[in-house]
Order: sequence, then structure tokens, then C-alpha cells
Amino acid sequence: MARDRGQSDSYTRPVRRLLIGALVMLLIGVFLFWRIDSPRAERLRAEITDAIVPSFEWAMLPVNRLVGLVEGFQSYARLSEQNQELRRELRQMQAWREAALQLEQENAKLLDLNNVRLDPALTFVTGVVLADSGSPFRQSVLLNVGARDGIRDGWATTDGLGLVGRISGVGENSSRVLLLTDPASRIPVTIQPSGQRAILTGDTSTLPLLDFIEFPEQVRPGDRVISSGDGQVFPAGLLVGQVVLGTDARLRLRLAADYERLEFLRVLRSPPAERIDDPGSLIGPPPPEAAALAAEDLADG
Amino acid sequence: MAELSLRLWGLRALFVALCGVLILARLLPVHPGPGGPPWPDVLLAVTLAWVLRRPDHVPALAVAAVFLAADFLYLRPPGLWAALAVLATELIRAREPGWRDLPFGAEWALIAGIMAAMTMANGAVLAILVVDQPPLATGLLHLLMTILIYPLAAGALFALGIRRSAPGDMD
Repeated sequence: MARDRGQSDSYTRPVRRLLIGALVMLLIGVFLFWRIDSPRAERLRAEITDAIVPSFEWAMLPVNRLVGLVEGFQSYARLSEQNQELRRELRQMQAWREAALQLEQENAKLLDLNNVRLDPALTFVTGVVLADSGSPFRQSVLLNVGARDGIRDGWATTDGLGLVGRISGVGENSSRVLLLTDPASRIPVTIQPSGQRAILTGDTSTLPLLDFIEFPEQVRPGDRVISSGDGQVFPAGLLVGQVVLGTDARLRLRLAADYERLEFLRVLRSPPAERIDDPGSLIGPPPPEAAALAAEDLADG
Repeated sequence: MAELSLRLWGLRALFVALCGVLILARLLPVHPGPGGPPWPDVLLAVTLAWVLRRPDHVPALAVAAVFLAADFLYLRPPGLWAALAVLATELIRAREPGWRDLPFGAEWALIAGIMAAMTMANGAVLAILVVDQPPLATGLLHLLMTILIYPLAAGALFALGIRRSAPGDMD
């Protein structure tokens, strides 16, 4: 039989080589298609992910629960220790809560006195994290809410504590959140007391980089960093984290969101900001030909 | 004969099913977020180990399909890594009769060389086409982890009963 195969090889080998060549060419074609028309390929990717991952939720949920259970058991070991710790923290938190309530009232009074109009209230959709990115070079998670729930590309995502990332890729039943630590993530931020603008750049490390700071000497480790509304990417004023000095002596950011436990994420519905791009029509009546055209349009419509 | 081919198709299905499980296992949101060393490419280690042992179980079409699916799900540039995987398995398939009697150390070195070549080719193509690339250090660490995981993959296949065909075996 081994000899048989040897004989048939001489016939099939060239054909086989041709077919393998065609297969490799096809794969490279897919790659080139992605390179040339990235948005369409990424939409295809979102659709494939949407078709595959949610249908395996039944398999993934028990495993997730199991891992959670094991981690829970591990923490039982130091139950009393944790209890003490929590009590201590609770006492501190109560003090902070009192302070926060007073400040909130004062703030509301001041805003009222100054007649400040805040952003229209943000509403949110909460989703469960379905899957990880699977690649060591990309930082993203998949949520179980998608176009069906009205999710759109670019919306901000938080975990209740701080900004986590933004929606990048929406399928019918799932959407992908690009985490702030992903190398492709760039968001405009404001560093709080000094009001410096910066760009937060992910580099797959736990501490993303603060780039393009105009006066770095005015920024100190410990400063609060919030999102700025620049470029209309994000709603302004979401807490992102605190400035720290990295081991490479560059300014980095410790994220406020708990990246170790991303289970539920809030997607903030941001209504598109109104744009003012006409010069204003109060200066004079429209020129006669424009008025005639408008009248024609009306007649057609 | 019919029984034999049924068994062969069963083993091919086993390969595809195992790859599917590996891909989905990596997607579990057990530890999302950054930090820690990069997870190795278990899929590649298992595929290369399997094709070196029993090339007839691992058809090129299955390799292409599995790696293309992984490319799409893992947010890699789709197609490139799959094409490299097909080329690597074809290389091993063509040379497999000559490599059958290698001791494990030599086999490991060989596979490490192939994986390094794949990583380099991947990086070179992405650099030529000006695609954003992860930092070099992460890429090298990922490669190292994948090379280190290879003996485990080979051991797991041994436990599954996927062994190299001895010279006297019929099939």
C-alpha cells in the first residue's frame, strides 16, 4: 500500500501543488482585500464574530462560572482578613460619602447660580462581556449588545468606575469594545488641575501613555485625568484615571476602571453633538437665484 | 479499506474539532485586560506537531479554514497568518519522511526555526504594507512562549495516541 501511494504521488503531486498554491493565493487575496478595503473587511469580521461567538455562549458561560467559583473559593481562605479590610474601607467610604453629598449640593447651587447648561443627560446600555480578543497584541472585549440594542460605533464604554474604551465594530447581537490599552486606541483627555490637553495612547501595557502634552512640567503624578470632548469622539468629563510616572520616565496613566474584572460594561449613548457649520443667515436675504432654486425645489417636492 | 478511511476522516474531524475548542477557549473572558506575559499560540503548536506526526490527518484545507477563522476572531489581519500556516504545514508535509527519525530535541529546534521564520515573514509583510504592528518585544515574547509550549502540545498528542508512523506500519 505504501508503494501504491508512491506511484499515485507522481500523478497527484503536481495537481496538489497547484491546488495548494491556489489556496495560499486565496488567503493572500483575503489579506490584500483587508488591506485595501479595511472598513468593509472589518464589517465582515464583525459579522463573522457575531455569527460565531454568541452561539457558543452556552459553552462559555459554564466555564466562566466555574472559573469564578474557583476564584471565589480561593478568596474564602482569607475571609476574616477581607472582612476586616472591608469594614475599615466602609468607614472611610462613609466619611467620603458625607463629603461628596455636601459637595454635590454646593455644586448644584453654584451651577444654578451661574446658569450653567450641562450636557444632555447620558443614558446607557449595560452589556455582559462575552469574549476576550484572543490575541496578545490586541486589547478588546466582546459585549452581548449590538445593533439590535441601538449600539453605534464610537460610543464610550465605562465599567461604572472609569472609562474602559469605545465601541469599535458592531454586529447584530454583539459589539466589540476597543480597550484604552489597545495599541490602536487614541483618545483626547484633559489633565485636571492644570487643564492640559493630551492624547491617551495605548501600548498593550497596563499603563497607557499620555502623549502630546503641551507643558509636561505642569503635570504631576497623581493628577486626575478626564476625557475631553475634543473632536466629538467622547462625551466630556468622564473619569479616566490618574497620572503616574512610568519606569521609562514618561507620563503614563493608571486607569480608574478595574481592568482585572471586566464583567459588565456600560455603553453610554452619546447623542451626536449638534454642529454649527453655516455662517448664519441673519446677515441678509438670500441671493435671488438661490431663492428661485429653493422655490423650484419646493415645487418639485 | 472502508473502515480505514472512515477512521482517517474521524481523525481529521478530531483535528478540526480540537482546533475549534482551542480557538474558543482562548476567547473566554477569564482574564481580559493587559498585564502578564502574552498567551502562546497553542493552535500553531498543536497543528505543527500534528502535521509532523501524521500529515494525512491534517489536510491543507482544514489548516486554511481553521487559521482563517482564528485570524478573523483574534483581530489579526485576516488571511496572512493563515497563508503562512498553510505554507509551513506544506513544508513539513513535504519533508516529513526525512524528518521522521529525528530525536525530539532536533524536532523542537526545527519547529522553533519554522515558527521564527513565520513570525519574521509576518512582520516583514506587515511592515512592507505599512500595517500597525505590536511592539517587537511583545512579538518576540509571544514567539518564545509558543516555542516553549510546543513540547506540551507534542506530549498531549502523544497521550491522544497520535504518534509517528513507525517504518513497518502499513498506514
